[in-house]
Amino acid sequence: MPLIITDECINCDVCEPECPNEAISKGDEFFIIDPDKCTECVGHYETQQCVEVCPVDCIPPDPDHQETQEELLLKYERLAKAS
Amino acid sequence: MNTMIDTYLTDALGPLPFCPGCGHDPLLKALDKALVKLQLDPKKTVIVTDIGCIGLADRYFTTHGFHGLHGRSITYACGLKLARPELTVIVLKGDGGCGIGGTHLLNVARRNIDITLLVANNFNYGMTGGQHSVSTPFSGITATTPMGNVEAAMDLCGTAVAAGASWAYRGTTFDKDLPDRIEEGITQPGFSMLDIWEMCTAYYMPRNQLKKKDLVDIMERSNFTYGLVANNPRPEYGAHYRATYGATAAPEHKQPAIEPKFGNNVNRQTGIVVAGSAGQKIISAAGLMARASMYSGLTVTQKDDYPITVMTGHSISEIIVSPERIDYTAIEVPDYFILISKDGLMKARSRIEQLPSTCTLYAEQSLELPPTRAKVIRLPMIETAKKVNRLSIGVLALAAFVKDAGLFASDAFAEAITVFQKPAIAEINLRALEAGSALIHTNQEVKPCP
Amino acid sequence: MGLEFIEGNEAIARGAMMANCNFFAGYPITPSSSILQYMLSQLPRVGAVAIQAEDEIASIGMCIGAAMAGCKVLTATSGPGISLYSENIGLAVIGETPLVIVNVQRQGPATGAATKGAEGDILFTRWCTSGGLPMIVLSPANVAEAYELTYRAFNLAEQYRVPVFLLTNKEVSVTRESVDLEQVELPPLVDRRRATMDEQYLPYRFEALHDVPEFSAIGDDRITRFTTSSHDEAGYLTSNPEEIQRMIDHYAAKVEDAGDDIALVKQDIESGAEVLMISYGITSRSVAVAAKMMREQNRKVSVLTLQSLYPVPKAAINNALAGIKKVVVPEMNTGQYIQEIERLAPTGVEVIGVNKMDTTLISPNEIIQGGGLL
Repeated sequence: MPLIITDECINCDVCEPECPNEAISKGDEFFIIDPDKCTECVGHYETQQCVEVCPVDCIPPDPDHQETQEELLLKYERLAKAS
Repeated sequence: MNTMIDTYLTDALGPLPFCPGCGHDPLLKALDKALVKLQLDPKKTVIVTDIGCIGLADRYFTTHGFHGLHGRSITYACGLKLARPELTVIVLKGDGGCGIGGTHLLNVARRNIDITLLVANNFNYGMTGGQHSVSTPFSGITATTPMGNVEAAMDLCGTAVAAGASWAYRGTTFDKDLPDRIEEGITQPGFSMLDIWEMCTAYYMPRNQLKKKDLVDIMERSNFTYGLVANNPRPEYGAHYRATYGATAAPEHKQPAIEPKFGNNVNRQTGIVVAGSAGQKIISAAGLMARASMYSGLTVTQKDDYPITVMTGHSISEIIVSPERIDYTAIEVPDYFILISKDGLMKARSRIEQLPSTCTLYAEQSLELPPTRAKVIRLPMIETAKKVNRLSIGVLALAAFVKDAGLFASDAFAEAITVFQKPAIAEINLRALEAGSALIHTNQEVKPCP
Repeated sequence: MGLEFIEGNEAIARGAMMANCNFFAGYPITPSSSILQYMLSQLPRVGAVAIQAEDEIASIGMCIGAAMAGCKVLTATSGPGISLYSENIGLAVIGETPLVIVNVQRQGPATGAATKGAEGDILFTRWCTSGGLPMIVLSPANVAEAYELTYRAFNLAEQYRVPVFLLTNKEVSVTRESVDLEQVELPPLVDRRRATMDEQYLPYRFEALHDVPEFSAIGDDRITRFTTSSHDEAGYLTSNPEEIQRMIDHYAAKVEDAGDDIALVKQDIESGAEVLMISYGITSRSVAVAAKMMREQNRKVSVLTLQSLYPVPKAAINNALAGIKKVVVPEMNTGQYIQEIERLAPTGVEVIGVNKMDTTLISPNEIIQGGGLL
């Protein structure tokens, strides 16, 4: 499933450039992840890049958008074709 | 053409150098926003940074930058502001700098000098590895408090306010209105400080599992005000100083020049010691006699000895007069010794015991002298002074000496008194001069002025 | 002015005013407090600031801030205060800040005897801060010299953009003497060279190592940076060894290369003399009497009086050492400047210290006896 940024986010701006799918953007209160673009880095990297760099560990899996590894891989391919 | 300045940050050195998530980043950006709102002239603005990660900040601004020693940023800021009041002076200091520089925080607050202090408060010394500081919360884990801090955190705003700070604010880097509060601090006419709480994502935060909301929780638990702590305007130091002590002050009182106009009988370096009590105006009397010798064409030096507690104990002056330049300014063997009081006797006892027969000792008659080979002349100094003025005993005793020794004329002494003393005091001292001279019945001829 | 009866400290304050000093920050400490007092009475009258700071560290800090804002600054203290000034003196070196510091020496160590003179800070003043870079140290022997050398100290500080020490002694500072300051000849006033170039201003730009960077004040039209860290010509932090070495060599060259220009000595060389007396400060006056006593006994002696202690006036000392078999160095300490003489004296020359640190002056007789001169 894609990831979500919680309200623990301190707006440090380190995750945004790391996302290979450009899924992260500035929200009203703090940064947000577009669930349609997040593949948890499946297809790009072994590990989730935004989670790795986040200094406050505020990027857990999104409980409202649960996806399997296969679904994430399909999403990756779909996004790659579109770009 | 006056274009708006849209930022005071430069990217000439690349992005800000702080750790990801470091609070210094949003703090400096909030400061930048405040500067943009104020549209300050960068050439009339200086950012003074203390040591620490915050000390990396000044070079990222397009204003003047001053990066000095740890804890001393406030002192440089004060010097800059006092020298050039038109400067806007902003200090960026960490909680660490507030510890080592504590007294400077107290005193700039007490004086109310117009600088703005932003404390980047992240509860530890980030740059050196996360040691605890004066603001580390109680039980906080740091490199130097691994079992939990057992010191209380200092209320930086409260401390400054107790010392007289006229404007103090506490906030966090997550406050949306931080730029406005910083702008407010800068425009305050006196000393203003903002204690800005932040995350140190390298050390304090991970060691203590600190979350964003914990900052305000810690404030509440510590009973520290979140928001405006104090707003008590009062006169700013520099302006007040200039108004009180400035160019409108009384004109300089120059000492009159001394023109030799009397003669003297001195043909070699001659040492005179006067020993009395503190409060007897010994130093002043000796100084007048010194000037008298200058009126008589002589070179003179004076050295005084008295306890550090000036109103009590002995007071001893050593005067050397000479027709030539005086090199060695110690009197090893006095030619003349004037002893006025018991304090003087107690201090100079062994010296008096060692006086040779070539020395003349003028002693207050009631004193019990030790054995001495000096020629002793007893004089009723205290008795006579009582008839003139108790405080004129020094002049009185020296007047007797001057008359008897005949090194120079009593008239020269009178001249010095008249020229260098306020009329009311001069009047008393001239009477003392007369009374002292009258105690001596011989008449020494003084060679006239060449 | 004419003939007056004043103490060394007043002469120092007046020398500073003559040099257009326009900022003072200091802290009360015997025997220098009267300098603070005089400056408080003089500076506000001309629209300038004199401030008693909360401690010595704040005093010198404020002075450095004011100096970089363009002021000619003075501070005054005694031995214990120099200890507190130490780190900031290094800041003035690395920041190339013109600054005049008066040390009215008193008996140490620590609190010692506040009202008594001594000369215990000679080497300390030279080596008073981390880094070991050269310092300029002047030493007056009487009230007239206190006036003159303070004025010269300002000129040197401005010319070389360095802290300059006026190292005096309670015996000079708190002794009153008959003196006519009008008779003191002062050289032309020197002010720091201001930046003239129109292109991007580099606060620490220099070509030859001993060149002094042009100055632009904080508050003037060229944005400038001042930093305590090892920096480049632009005032930015650097960790480049070559740049750092160049700066270190520059701080050293500024002072050392100017050695001959800075040197202030009084020579009394007697042809054929094999004994030389070298001294400074108040003790040089006892030396003058000792020399007179020797000559009255038909003994030849040369006398070298140092008004500048650092950089060591090597040329003058070497010149005076020619043909000398014995050098006598009297000091009111346990033997400090004598180390500089020992370093310069050729092998075979006897170097004798006459030392006392009991709060009393070294007498001419003690010099004669201690040096085995008669």
